[in-house]
Amino acid sequence: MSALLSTAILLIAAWVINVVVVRQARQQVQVEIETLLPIYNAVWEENARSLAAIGTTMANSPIAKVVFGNERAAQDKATIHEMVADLTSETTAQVDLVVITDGAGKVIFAERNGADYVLNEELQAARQTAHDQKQTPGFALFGGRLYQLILTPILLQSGNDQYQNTLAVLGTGAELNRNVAQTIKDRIHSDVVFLLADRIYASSLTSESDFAPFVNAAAVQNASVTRPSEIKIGGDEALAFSRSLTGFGGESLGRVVMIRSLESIRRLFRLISNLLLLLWTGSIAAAFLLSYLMAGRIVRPIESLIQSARVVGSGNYQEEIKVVAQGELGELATAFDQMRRSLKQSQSELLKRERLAAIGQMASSIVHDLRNPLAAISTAAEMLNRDGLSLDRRKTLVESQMRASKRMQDMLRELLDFTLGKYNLALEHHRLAALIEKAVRSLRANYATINIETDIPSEIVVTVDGERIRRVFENLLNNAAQALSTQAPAPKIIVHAVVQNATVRLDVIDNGTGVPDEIRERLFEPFVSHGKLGGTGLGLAIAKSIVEAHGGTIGYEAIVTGADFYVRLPLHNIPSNAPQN
Amino acid sequence: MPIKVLLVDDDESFRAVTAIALESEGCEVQEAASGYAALEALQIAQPDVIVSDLDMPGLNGLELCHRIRSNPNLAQIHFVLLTALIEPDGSGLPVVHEADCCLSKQTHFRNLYQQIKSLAFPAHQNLQ
Repeated sequence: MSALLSTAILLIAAWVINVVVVRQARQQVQVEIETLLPIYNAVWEENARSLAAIGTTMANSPIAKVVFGNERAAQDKATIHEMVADLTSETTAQVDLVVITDGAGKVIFAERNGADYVLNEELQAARQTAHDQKQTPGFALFGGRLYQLILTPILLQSGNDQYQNTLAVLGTGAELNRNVAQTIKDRIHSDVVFLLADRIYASSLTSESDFAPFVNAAAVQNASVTRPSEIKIGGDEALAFSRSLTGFGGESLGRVVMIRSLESIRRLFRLISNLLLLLWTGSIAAAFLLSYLMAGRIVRPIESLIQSARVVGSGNYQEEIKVVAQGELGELATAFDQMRRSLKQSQSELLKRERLAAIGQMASSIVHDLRNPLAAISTAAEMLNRDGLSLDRRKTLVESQMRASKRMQDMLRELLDFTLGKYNLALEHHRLAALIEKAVRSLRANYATINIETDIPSEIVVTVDGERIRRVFENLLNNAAQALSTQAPAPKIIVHAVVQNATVRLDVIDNGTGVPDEIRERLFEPFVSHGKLGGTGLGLAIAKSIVEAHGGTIGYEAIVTGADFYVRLPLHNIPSNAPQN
Repeated sequence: MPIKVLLVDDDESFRAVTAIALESEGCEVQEAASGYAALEALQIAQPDVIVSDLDMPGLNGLELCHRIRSNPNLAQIHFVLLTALIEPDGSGLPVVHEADCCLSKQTHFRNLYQQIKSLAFPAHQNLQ
């Protein structure tokens, strides 16, 4: 989301910057072009000075004066050539053309790049120079070649101080070739094209053919510095303007076109775009890095804390909470771990207390349950020791003793079964209806007001330990009766059984208030009781272990009109010595 | 004239043995296996003292006592509660409310008889 937002912001910024920058850059180029002209002029002036210096040197040299002061020597090309070679060898400046005319402008010597050059022309400008006796700069076209030319008069001082004789006029010229174009380009950072009539004479362009469409273009020819013409050259946008190359007589010989590429703007824009792209990539990467670090510093410790909280919440206080964070989170984790430790301690103390309480409860319930038969046995023993009792009474006392002993035995066995979790089942075939009837009969004796209905198909036969299963039924019936005894206008218990697949399901349903929610889940655990005063709290736990030893299940279902305890017993394949759990 | 006792307990052995023991002391004992059975018996018989177990399924000793005290025809009958919940020395004695007294089930039957006799013949006790 934040990445998307920053992308959008950057794209807008890029667009704005682009618009502003391009406009600014265009204006900048316009300003630059206007400043080019003086530089351009300065280049020509420098070249002219260089040529003029050579001209002056040559014109002032005594040899020149001697040579041109002598009419015969002045006609001797070999002598002049020697002289020119001599003089030009001392300069490093480019001198492509040397022309010498007489005072009337007639060419008496011409040499191009050190070689003879036939030039059958009269130089009007030379005559003017001879007359003015002043160095004159200008451009000239000889034999289809363009030159920058300086005309220098070779003067001879006459006797009269005031008067000088013009012996000859010396022309030193540099051709407007690629080098010159390149020199100018180096200074004005724009390509330079020398145009002659309808062709490119020379240029600094790498590919002159790119300019071909504009050779005769009026727009380009007429474009001035203040109003440059936009052209596209070699795929690049550029601004072009031109200047005239003026001859000595003021005539236009050709034009110089200067081409200012807008590529630099493009480069600038590309640079900015790249920078923005870099910025964007950077910010996205930073955002990801930041969120990663955030995750590392905040989210992950919180997640680990939540995980730990869940573990602690589930009642597992063993796992130590690792403090992976610093600062407040670290403190939180430390505090949390302290809490866990104290919880763990309280839990273990609670467990210990609970266990002790359970043992106490169990012990007291055993003691109480054993008191009845014990009292019977001891009283009977004392009575038996007396004289004068009828045989009948003695018999009753002995039977009571035996019954009480058996009861104690049963109770102890049951307790042992329960604590050991094992039953040695005495499996026999029993009619379910008969087992239920026995349990119901003893219940009826105690609960006269409860209406007990049974609906057990007589053909159902189960293979069980009859004594123990009867105990289960008694427990369930007693539970139901106790739930009803103190309330309900029409207390009723329904016992019914159905065969489902390979099992028989027996339901004991009462119309009491049902089992409270808070103990429903722990109903079959030991010492969970809401039943009779002084109950052992073991009844349902024992019932569960007995049923499970038979490979069955016991459970509770809440119903609208009360409670429904059910027992499911297998009809076949009953395991003997099945473990309790 | 023998003291008429109604003995109520769900434990058959205890009931049978205690009945014989009390009879040997000269009481006339009628037995009931539950609180409800006792109420049924009281519709015919009129004992001097009722000796009842406290912790019984169905109608327990305290409830039985309350029923009797609430019935004007029966309210004057003495009521002795027996319970396995208290020790022979009497500690752990529950609040017996409307009963005359409460004894441990391990109390010797002679003590029980003395208690029954003192309830049935308060004057006789004073002579002793």
